[in-house]
Amino acid sequence: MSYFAQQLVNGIALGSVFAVLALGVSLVWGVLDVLNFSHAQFMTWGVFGTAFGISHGLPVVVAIVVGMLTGATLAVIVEEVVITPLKRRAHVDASSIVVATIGVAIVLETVIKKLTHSELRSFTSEGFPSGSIPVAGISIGLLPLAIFLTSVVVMVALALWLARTRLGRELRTVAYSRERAEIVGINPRTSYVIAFVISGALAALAGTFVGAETALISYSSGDGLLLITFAAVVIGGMGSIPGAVLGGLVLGIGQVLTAAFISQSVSDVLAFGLMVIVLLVRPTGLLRRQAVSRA
Amino acid sequence: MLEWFSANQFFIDNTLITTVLVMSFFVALQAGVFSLASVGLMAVGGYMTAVLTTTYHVPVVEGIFAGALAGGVMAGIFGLAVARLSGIYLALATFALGQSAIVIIGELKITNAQQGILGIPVLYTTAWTVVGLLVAAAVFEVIRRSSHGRAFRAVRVDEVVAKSIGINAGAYRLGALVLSGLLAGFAGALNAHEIGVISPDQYNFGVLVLGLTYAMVGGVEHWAGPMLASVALGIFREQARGVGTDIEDAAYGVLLVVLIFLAPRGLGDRRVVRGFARLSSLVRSRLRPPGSRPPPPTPLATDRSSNERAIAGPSVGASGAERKT
Amino acid sequence: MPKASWRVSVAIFAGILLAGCGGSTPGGQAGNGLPANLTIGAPLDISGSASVASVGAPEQEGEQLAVDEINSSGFLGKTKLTLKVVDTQASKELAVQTLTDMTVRDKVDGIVGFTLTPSFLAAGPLAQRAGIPVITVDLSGTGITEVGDYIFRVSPALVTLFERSDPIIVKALKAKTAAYIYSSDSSNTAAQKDFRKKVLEGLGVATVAEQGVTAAQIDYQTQLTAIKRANPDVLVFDVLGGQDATLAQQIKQAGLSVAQMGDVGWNSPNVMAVSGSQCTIFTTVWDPSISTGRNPHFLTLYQQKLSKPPTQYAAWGYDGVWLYATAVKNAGSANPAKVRDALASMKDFQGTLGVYGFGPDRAPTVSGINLQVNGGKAVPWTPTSTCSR
Repeated sequence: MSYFAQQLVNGIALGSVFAVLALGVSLVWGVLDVLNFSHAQFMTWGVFGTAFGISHGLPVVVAIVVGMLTGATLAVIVEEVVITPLKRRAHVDASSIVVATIGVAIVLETVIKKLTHSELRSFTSEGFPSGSIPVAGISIGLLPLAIFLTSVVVMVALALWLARTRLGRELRTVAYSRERAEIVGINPRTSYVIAFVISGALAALAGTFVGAETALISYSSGDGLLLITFAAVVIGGMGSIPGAVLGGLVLGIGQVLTAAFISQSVSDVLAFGLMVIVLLVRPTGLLRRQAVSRA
Repeated sequence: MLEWFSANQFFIDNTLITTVLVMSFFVALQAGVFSLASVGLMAVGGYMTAVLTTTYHVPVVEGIFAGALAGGVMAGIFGLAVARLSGIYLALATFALGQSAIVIIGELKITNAQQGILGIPVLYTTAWTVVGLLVAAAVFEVIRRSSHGRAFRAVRVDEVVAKSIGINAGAYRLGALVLSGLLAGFAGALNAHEIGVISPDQYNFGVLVLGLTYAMVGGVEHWAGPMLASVALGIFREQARGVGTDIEDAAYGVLLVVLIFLAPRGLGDRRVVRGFARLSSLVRSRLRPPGSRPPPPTPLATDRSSNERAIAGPSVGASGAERKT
Repeated sequence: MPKASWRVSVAIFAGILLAGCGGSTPGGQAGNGLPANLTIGAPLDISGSASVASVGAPEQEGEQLAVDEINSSGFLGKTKLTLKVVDTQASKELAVQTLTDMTVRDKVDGIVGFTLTPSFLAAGPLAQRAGIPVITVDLSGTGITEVGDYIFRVSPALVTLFERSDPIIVKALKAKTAAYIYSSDSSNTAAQKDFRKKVLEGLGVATVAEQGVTAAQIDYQTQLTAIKRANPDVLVFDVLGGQDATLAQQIKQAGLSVAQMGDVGWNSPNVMAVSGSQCTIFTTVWDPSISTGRNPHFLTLYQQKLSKPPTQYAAWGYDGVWLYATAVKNAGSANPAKVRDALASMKDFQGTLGVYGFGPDRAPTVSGINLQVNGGKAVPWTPTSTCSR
């Protein structure tokens, strides 16, 4: 039983990283109807921002803020230069924007690759929690615990912000229907920018988690995670914040438990398999109540 | 010139096979099916012929046919599964199905799992791909000019309206997906015999990006668009590669973004065409000696909605500037 | 197709075609039986994911360093070497195309390169058929030189090293049970794991766990938890280079404390910087501590020219080029068949791996060195070494 509990704990830890990534993608999808393929680059640039801060002697928490600012800034640039101008034009549908974000991702990855000389760099674990504590027969790693707690704080903060603040409510209104938001005097452009800012900052935070967990960063750090993120968003419900969290956790726990108790092979296929099943049975995801029509 | 062809034989072969893959994306897109399964279907086709020609000593030509067929059948299965989906959901579902196929191939004993298969007979001739492309082009052109072509366009432009005028949208979407699978399987099989080795890692996200972006640049209006785009972009990247991979990648990324801005519907986009027409008539009018200027060009036809034009096809005058007075 | 853009597209197409024609190779003699210029083709993977690029890029640096040194020292008299590096982008198609270009169009004199095994297996046969000597740099699996007698390798098949060193290590650790963690999505590592498992089982070391990991994983707690439950005496690693550091980091987190037998990827500053790598024992062929052959000189030269310490990939690249140049000098000719024969009979070559030659299987006659990670550095290991965690 404690073996199962241990693996469950592993799954929750992994899931919380996926959840933070999925949050950013889901937010942008909900508010802008854009599936952003350059999200992984926000993550990569963000973690390099954190590494930069650490190597210049900043305390870890401050460095993480630097990283999040890097991610947020990059996201805003992408939004202002590419996304919003494209959305304004006619004849541009979701698939065209997807291709444009792929182009952006390629450029961003090439730039960071050049800047870092294609290196695989060490990400220091100094200043981060390490080791583990035994709790009721299970060993809980301190770093995964810190990541999990930070993720929870972030998710709760985001949910509160969306529900209680004016800007947050505006965001939700724009996500519901851009036209109706404009009718009540909301400027969707502000919401777009804010959605991207949050998305970029969250991606950077997740990138830092991954860097701390893997002890390595490189220009291709984000690549493998993009598809899992999309899977989490789909499973939980595109555009739904609690959905993103649920999707991330379901995938994290699912991957770990299938790898531990069935086989690694099944675990590899799980993300795609679940994605297909959800899309076929309940395309709007586990938590979305109905497909909101975009008026 | 001829020596250039033989020296660059492989590049030509590779570009042509890529074009087949691009057409696989195209044929689904032109029916409104945003399918990302082509790379997975390519793997199915490639492995089918690889296993048949190595383990079972089937002749290469038959192996290639089997590969194409396997791609089509698998696509049909996918199509039945995703019948009710559309847009991004369809894209993600087809992507997930395609990826699952690749992962499963990488786990099976018969496909030698991650090690892949070596020693596939390298009995490839450029002629096969050229013939395949010509046949595909002929089929596309015939379809385009027929009522089936109009039906595909109708389904792409507005599925609900298409159904309301009696078009069996589901059948057309499935048909498009099966054709897409046939082409992808064909490309995979050709590729297997071109290189002689196959392994799951070669069917990566980069290949998907390549095929999808080339197809979208080519546009969905006319089959010649993606074919030209595939060849032109393939040459562009090859030239850029000589300068350096990073420059090649960055240039391609920038090019993609710029092209989406200029021609969101790809090369065949009517706005691109009209833009060219306007530009060339502008240039012509400037080149005429002063005093003999013709009247400025009439505003382009707007009496039909873009939907109607899309469905009716190019027979309504390519530049749209011809109006019956 | 609307006429205007059709014409434009065809014009661009034709223009690019014409631009692609052409190209020539220089000739001339240098007066010592060798041509004035020798071209070495270097198909390497310098892009794609960082775990590939971080191998290919140092290989290029090592090769270029050797080429520059040979040219400036006049080792081949008036003959100059040119290094033609082509990034094959981890793509089999590009590898095949590059080899075709190199052997048919550019007519290189020798090839030193290849970062990834699948690309080599696709493209290597072309070089063999064209009769151009190939020296593979970092390929560590089996089945490489079997492609043909023109194929040589600087890095031996790792299993030949493990065959010798694993029994010694396992005996010194007094291990009775072993767990294996390996990259299941790479044929090399999976085969390597099977080989080492067989060797150890043959010595009576029971296998209590075998856990496969994939490159996309960021979190290995699942596998490490399973291994911890099996309670082995020793944990054997056969993973891809980019994963060793992450594993080392997460082992501590899993609360797993066990003797560790690494693989060649542990000989990297990234890995040794992680505290979880402490006391891991591994076998490799190159290490800065090698004091024979040209290694001390290489270390100084590399640091001087590139302002950073070299990695094993750079060392292999450097040796690859020097092996080719030495073979050319020994043969007194650039004729590929003669160079091949000179390579096959190479003895007492002064390299970064020490002093060695090629065996009958065209692999280097080196026996590997056993190292242990201690205090963030790799130090030579013997059965009597001590280490505390």
